[in-house]
Amino acid sequence: MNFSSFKVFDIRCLFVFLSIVTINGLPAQGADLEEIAVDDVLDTLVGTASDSFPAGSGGVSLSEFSGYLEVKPRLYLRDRNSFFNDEQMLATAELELEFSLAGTVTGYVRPQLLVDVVDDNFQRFELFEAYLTYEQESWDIRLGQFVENWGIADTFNPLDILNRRDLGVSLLDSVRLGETGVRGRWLWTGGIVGEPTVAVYFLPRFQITRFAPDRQRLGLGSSDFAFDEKRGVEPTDRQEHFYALRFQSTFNLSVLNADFQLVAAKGPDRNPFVTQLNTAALAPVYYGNRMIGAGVRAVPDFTGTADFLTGVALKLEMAYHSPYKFDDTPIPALDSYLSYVVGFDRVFYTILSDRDELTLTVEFAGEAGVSRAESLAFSRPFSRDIITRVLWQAGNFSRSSLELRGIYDLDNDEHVVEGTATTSLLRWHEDLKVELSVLYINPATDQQGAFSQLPDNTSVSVTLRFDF
Amino acid sequence: MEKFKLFLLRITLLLVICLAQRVTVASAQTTAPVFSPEDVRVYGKQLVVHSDNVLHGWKDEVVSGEMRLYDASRRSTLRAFRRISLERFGKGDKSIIKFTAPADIKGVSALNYENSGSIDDNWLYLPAIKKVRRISGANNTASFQGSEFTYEDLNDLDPDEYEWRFVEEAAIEINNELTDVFKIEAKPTYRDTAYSRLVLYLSKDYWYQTKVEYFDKSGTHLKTKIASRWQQFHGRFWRPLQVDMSNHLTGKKTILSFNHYYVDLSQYVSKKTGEKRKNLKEDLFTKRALVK
Repeated sequence: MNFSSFKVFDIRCLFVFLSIVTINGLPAQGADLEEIAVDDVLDTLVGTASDSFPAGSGGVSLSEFSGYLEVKPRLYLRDRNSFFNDEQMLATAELELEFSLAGTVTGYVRPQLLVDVVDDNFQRFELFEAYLTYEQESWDIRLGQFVENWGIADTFNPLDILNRRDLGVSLLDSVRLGETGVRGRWLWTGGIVGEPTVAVYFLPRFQITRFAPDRQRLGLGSSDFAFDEKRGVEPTDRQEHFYALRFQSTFNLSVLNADFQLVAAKGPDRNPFVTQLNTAALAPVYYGNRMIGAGVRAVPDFTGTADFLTGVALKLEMAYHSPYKFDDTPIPALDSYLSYVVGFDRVFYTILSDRDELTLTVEFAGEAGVSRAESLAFSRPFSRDIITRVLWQAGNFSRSSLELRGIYDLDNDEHVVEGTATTSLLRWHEDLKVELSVLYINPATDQQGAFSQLPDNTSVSVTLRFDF
Repeated sequence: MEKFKLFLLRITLLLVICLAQRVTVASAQTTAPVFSPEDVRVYGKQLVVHSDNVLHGWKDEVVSGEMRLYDASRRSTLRAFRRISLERFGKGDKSIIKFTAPADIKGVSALNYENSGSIDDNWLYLPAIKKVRRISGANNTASFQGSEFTYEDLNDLDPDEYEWRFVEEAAIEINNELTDVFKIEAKPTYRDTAYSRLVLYLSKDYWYQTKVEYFDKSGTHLKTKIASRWQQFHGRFWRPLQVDMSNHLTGKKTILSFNHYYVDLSQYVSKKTGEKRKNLKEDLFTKRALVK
């Protein structure tokens, strides 16, 4: 959704919410925080109310207020012809508001405005999340637009199918969009099988994937074929409904402690099939997916017998997908396939100083039961890839860090390396950070790799970010 | 004769432990136990076990505080946090710590289950990626959020995981005040430690460590921890509202201070309802609570 087509309903919701909070949530003038009852302080610390802003007479109080402002110029090293807008200057403002209503209902709103200063065709206003949660001791229910991360692995998550993505902002880390629906969740503590949680999801409203506009750097259109989102084929009526059941628990054995989850879901797939629908335009065609999957993240306890496993977390994530076409959808036949990631994280301490730490991640992502060509056709680049990540955190005042991430496609000899250095600019403000990022892409030469189908998006960016 | 002495010692220890749990709260934390100081190793452990017993029974804790980190040139930076804890005597405590400042780590939370006899369960919630991750607990010697405290320093001392030696009774000066203490030496017997030994100064008034000196593996005096601004809760539990940790090798220092501290919530009356509050329940210490 771009800014101009931002739905009136969403604006009204935001306005009503802000009005309620402004009228009821802010502290009375001259309120002495020292006089706040022990009740309020305790409730806040325990996490059930607010001390920053004592509850008003209407029973609505703002408990958290945060966000960030960011400016990110991004320079692509290989320009295309003048038809395209190749450089970017992304300016972002994001807000997070948490509030409580009458003690038992909590709310959360997270809107974001993103504008490309050098490309007036690229703007976003997203209400990523706007939901209410009613919470009881052993169950809760959430209603509204929300984002969840079901994944266990680092870069690619076969299980993480809930939220659709914005594919126009970042090449490797696409942004999760909020999904509108309801979630009911039941929890048990202290049981013999750890801490089981069962969650059911129902999303009645279909959400489209966001793409970059035609001339933007990550746009799918070219001088030969325009990308026309409006010609896309979307599910209608009941086909657009998404259902999911998720079970999570923990278990402790003598050799390891672990979290595991089982997920079953049915509904529109996260990614559409992009195809040429007429002679002059590409368009997204959506299709459905039945998925059943499982994931485990385990910490071994081999202290004394296998010290090299100390500090290791093992990961396994796998999902069986059975895609299906919606009525009269103009796409080829769909094959079922198994998607999986297996790997580990290993943390090392005191590398260069007495307080730094380094996290090494190694993962293998693959698909079974489907051809490489079909994986690519359906925008699934991780069919046989090795993913490595090294994150070094200095542990200094500036909270400096250096991250290197590499993805190597074994089938096409294609690889991507991203390096990111981050530090706080304490000289000016503790909450001001700068980030330098370099993305190097070595696409396959035979046009069969995921990145060889796009222009060379090797880029350098510098981000200035202020958190509040 | 030796066997008889040992028998008497055991009986005395048993009686003291029973008494420590049954006597009136006020006297339990002020009365020094009658132990035999003849064997300095046994006596050292007796004192620490007694301290452990006196401190036991707090049920739950809710605190907010801040850590100010100083470098050698006295530049400083701040980390603010909230913490809730649940005592589970004999089974291992549970706690959640949530950072509230600086802004870029606001909302980062950690859940810890201490597991007696096996590795702890640890989870970390990172709001930026909206993911709760189980993480390895094998980081005893790592710095806690860039401070002079390691995770090892923040853990309670388990009497069974050290060799103890009573050194002397002394009066030490902390913040211009003399405090009567038992000076006890402790040598860790577990593997994942940064220290060869610790020297504890156990307050006779609070039965709490008012000062701890840490010696690294080469025997060098590495750090000193000093607890101050003591506050008593419900006539029984003493807690320091400030803990300073100084690194003598680097000149760096961390001051941990608390601005709200509540012990055993059932002792507080709710002004809203006029009734006593309830203690924290186990279902607050779950991954669901971590995400809040």
